[in-house]
Amino acid sequence: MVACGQTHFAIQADTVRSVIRPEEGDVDAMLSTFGITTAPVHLSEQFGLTGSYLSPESRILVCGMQATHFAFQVDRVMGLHDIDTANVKPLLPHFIGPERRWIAGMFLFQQTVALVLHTGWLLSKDRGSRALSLPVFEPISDERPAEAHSPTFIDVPTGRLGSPNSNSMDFEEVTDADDTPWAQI
Amino acid sequence: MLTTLPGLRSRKYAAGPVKAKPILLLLFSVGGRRMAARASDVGGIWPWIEVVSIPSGTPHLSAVVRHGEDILPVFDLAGRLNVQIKGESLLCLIAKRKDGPMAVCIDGDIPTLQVVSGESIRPVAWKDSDVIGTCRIEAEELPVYSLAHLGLVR
Repeated sequence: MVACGQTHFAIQADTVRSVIRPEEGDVDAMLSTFGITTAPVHLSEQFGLTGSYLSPESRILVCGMQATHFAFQVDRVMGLHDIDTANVKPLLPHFIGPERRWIAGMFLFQQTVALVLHTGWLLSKDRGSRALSLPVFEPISDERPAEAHSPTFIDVPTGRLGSPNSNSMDFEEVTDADDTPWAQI
Repeated sequence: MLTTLPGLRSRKYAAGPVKAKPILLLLFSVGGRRMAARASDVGGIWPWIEVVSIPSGTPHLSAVVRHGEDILPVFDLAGRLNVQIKGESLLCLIAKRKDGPMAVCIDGDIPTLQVVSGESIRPVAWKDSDVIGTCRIEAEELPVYSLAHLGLVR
């Protein structure tokens, strides 16, 4: 579990090869042992956001599989946590942009919500450029971009949405607030 | 030759004009803008709570809110309207969008319920708008939002 700002991210533990303190000696030399020759990029920047490099608890994560490794800077490492995959919920269907490629799911964590990062995306070579260059998909009601349906290891199929009728004013008859129990409080 | 059933016409006329169905509207405000929505499209109103930011490319959806065991997306209606939420104790309106409920931050003014006749809502078809009609309530002409389609381009 790591944090960037107030957002918590879960990264598959077996992809994390090392955790380095930025002030811990020759970082470049340490990264070079993993074959990494470029400076670590803040995880937030992978999403096209601005990352803070000033966190006193920031760490550099070395992630990788087999021979390919990448280094990311995060604001805080929160340690190892066993997560029951049954508790991981798919990203809500309202989110239809590139975030569907970044986030595999979400779960309740402490008093907040943590986001599970897609390992395949995190370890892909074109992850940064794709995050920044891909168009934002406009929300549409009955047709969604392929990404919205791309299966993940926790994705569940979503039912087909009904066709909207934008001009419809099909109001139902209301005689009291029986259908709005919140209004009776 | 076509005939009508005896007495049908006279009974229909005797019943008088068809009564307009009453509709329960919730009146609330976002950034000082007064608006209305069908009350049956509202899942609840809570005090506003802290949200969790999510990296997102979906317009006006970049956070979720935790409510008990549930996680709801947060729709930034104020951002869509290009206004700033007003009030110290903000409120969270649950919009029953067709693909699932969403949290919407609204002004701290306590929303009110208003019953209007169906005829009093005049349909509008503004492009890329969440407004499905307008309704005059007292001296105000209020936009009626479709929370079921909020943020969905139609």
